[in-house]
Amino acid sequence: MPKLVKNNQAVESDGWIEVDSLEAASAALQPLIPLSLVTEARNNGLADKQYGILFSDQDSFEVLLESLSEQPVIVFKFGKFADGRFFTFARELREQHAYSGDIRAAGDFMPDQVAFLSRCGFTSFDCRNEAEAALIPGIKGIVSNAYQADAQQPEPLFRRK
Amino acid sequence: MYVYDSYDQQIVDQRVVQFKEQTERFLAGQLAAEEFLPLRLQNGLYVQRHAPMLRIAVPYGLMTSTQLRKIADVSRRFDKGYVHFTTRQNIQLNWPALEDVPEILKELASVQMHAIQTSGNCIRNTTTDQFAGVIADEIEDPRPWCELIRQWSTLHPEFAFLPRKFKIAVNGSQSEDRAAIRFHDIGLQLVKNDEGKTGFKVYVGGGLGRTPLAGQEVRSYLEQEDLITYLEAILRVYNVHGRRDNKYKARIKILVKALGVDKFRELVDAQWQMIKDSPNRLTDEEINRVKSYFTAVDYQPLADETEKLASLRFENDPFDKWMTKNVQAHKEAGYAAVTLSVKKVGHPPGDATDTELEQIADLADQFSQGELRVSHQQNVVFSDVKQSDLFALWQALDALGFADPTVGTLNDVICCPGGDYCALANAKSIPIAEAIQTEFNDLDYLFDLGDLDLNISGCMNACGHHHIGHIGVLGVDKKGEEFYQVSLGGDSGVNAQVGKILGPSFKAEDMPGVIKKIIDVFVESRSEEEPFISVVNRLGLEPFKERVYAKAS
Repeated sequence: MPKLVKNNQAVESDGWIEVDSLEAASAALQPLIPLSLVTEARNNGLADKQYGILFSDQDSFEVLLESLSEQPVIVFKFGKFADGRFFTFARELREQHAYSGDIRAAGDFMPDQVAFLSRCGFTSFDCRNEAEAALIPGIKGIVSNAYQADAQQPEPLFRRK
Repeated sequence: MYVYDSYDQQIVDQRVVQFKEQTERFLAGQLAAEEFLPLRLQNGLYVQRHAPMLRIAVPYGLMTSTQLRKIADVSRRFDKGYVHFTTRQNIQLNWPALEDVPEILKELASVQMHAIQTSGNCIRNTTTDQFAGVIADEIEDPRPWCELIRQWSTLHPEFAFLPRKFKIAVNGSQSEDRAAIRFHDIGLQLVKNDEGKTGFKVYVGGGLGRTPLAGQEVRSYLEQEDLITYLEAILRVYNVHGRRDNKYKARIKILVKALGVDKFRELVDAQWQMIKDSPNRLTDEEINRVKSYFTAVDYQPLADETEKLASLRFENDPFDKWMTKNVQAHKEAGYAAVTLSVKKVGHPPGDATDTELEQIADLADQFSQGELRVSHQQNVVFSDVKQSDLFALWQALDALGFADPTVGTLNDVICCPGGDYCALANAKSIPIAEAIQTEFNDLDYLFDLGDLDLNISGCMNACGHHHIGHIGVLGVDKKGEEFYQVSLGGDSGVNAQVGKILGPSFKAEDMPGVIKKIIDVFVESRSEEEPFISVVNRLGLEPFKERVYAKAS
């Protein structure tokens, strides 16, 4: 059973896998490289390879911005679901740094957060289990309109109505 | 008052559906308690000592008689038939069953009410002056700005998991601050610039709790169109930089203090420059749309009746006292604003029964255009009463027990629910309030004492705002026994300051005597009519300490 949700559907893996060493990174076809290893990985000739960045709650957003190039995916791995910083980071990536690749939530986030995460610019969700992945399409759109401008809707409600 | 359009209604209705689904999943065991917790908190639902507590939002304290009747109905059908008015102008149900909460929310939505963001680590209900829009010395009515903030902050996707709760207050008066804006995470003061254009002075980092601090000025003048983008910049800096490792150090006041207000301002300005001219910038059209809801009150051209009332006051001493303490001057000739005292001795401050709520609703229809307000002091305000109706209203209120002429006096206690209801409390607060009210039951004496804020909290979370009471009382736990710490000199107004602790704490039974001694020192030391807070500021704590801690001889 899939636990990845992409384009509002539970899907089987799209090939990206988390790695924890340079060796694993070079062995994998589509590695998600921890931010702390990205510079070293590039110096070791990985620059030409397709890779994504794995951002943990210990990482620095400034370092992420410095490391940003053409990566097709950035994964924010939640240590605690209550850590709301990733909501801001994703919005800044979309709205201030024109990042257009996939922004993925992983780790300890709740399906109930997916609606807000999506509005902040997240586009895929690597859930904790299959049941949560199955739940998301049904609950994400319950609240269907919003007052604020966000990463999905560039205009606030007062400019749209 | 603001009336929902189809968009507002849809958002509130859908939030009810969403919460129902979440509650069902929790009750079915499909959602862990610790994960349901932030979801229910963001919708006003606490789990308390005896039962859940549901906090219902009353945006900036303003409501209609229809809404109040709905609250009465809900409290009767789903609770024990009484509610609690809070210091942040909201209403709490103390005993609803979790299973009933979705249905309660559905009922509330039918009268344009909700419980969205009344708790949890998100942006809470924006509060303001209970006399907003009806007092003469306002720069501008703050309520449209509160409503614009309400809409912006409601279900904001980025700020639902802040380091800690976040409270915003707006003040429009030039001379007074009844909204205590310096003790909020963000305080907004309406001001005019040199060209006469209205904008905001912005304070940040105020708060009570364990580390009481007055907010600092982060911007001396903000254009009104920039309000939302500037708030968003502050929240963004806080969301990223606020501490998440210790919940007692997680409020924005700790961040502002640690960085210094100048460094904090730099971070905010850097962020703001990125979003200042984004589509979130307010338009004149939207500002005027929201303002139009607050200018619609139908005032008749009336003559001032102060002189006519003078003879009635002369003949009737209780009416005169009530006029002095509970009636506020109005910007429109022939009108007045009236405060209903919800502080009956022997009842928890701010509590009212379902029947009382319906009586208040009827009187609001009869005397104040069907609207009412909840005040930060946990009273109810009728903002638009004809002066010619004041005597009749007073008689009606007197018959119902809402005419105690004690507004602003020592007996107008601000008090949290305390250990009788709240799981967080160290000590009971309501019996202390009651004992003090009983000690000072002589109205003439209370009157002579003048304006005096007595604020009582049952724990360091400071829901009773003890730090900013002229006299503050804090419940503390000493080896399982309830004690009370007293502070003097707090001030929630324009001269914002935190009270200083008098000394070692007291047992509950000693509290009325302690307050009596403090009052005695004040009465002996004051010059004619001098307010309590002025005497404390002039003399310092020493004479009070000497009297209160004097050894019996």
